[in-house]
Amino acid sequence: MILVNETRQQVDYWITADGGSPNCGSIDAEGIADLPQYDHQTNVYVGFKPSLPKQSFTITCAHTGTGEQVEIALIAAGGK
Amino acid sequence: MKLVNNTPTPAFYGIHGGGSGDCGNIPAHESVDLKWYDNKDNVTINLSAVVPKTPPGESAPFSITIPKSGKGMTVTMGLFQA
Repeated sequence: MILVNETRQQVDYWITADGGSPNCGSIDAEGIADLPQYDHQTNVYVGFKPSLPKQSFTITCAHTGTGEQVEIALIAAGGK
Repeated sequence: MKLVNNTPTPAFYGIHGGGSGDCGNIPAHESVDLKWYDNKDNVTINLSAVVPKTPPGESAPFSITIPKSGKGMTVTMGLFQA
């Protein structure tokens, strides 16, 4: 299980799974956390929030165009 | 300016720029269209998770539960501008 931070700021994460030990930590902006012990596990819960002192995910657009879009995403993908 | 919440968690947004500001909630996997913020300078958007019973002054996590994880699965938390 690889946790990927593409939010441009540091995040804290929490991860648990059925029958396993919880884990937590921080991931720098554009960084990853490689947690192979959560491969092939059941009911894996992953939580992310901005590292303190930030209380929210923030982005500043120098100039917005017509129909500009800002998306916050949390997506699980891949794995066999 | 469209704000898209592509997470399983409801989000609270705050936006300011062009001399104005707004805030509100975006349900999970939905979006809000804020045309007034098109063609403006220095628009800042703040997004945070909305989770019931979160104590005041504390932030809540965006979260996802995966029924069965595979080898090398990735979980990505992202904030994108397009």
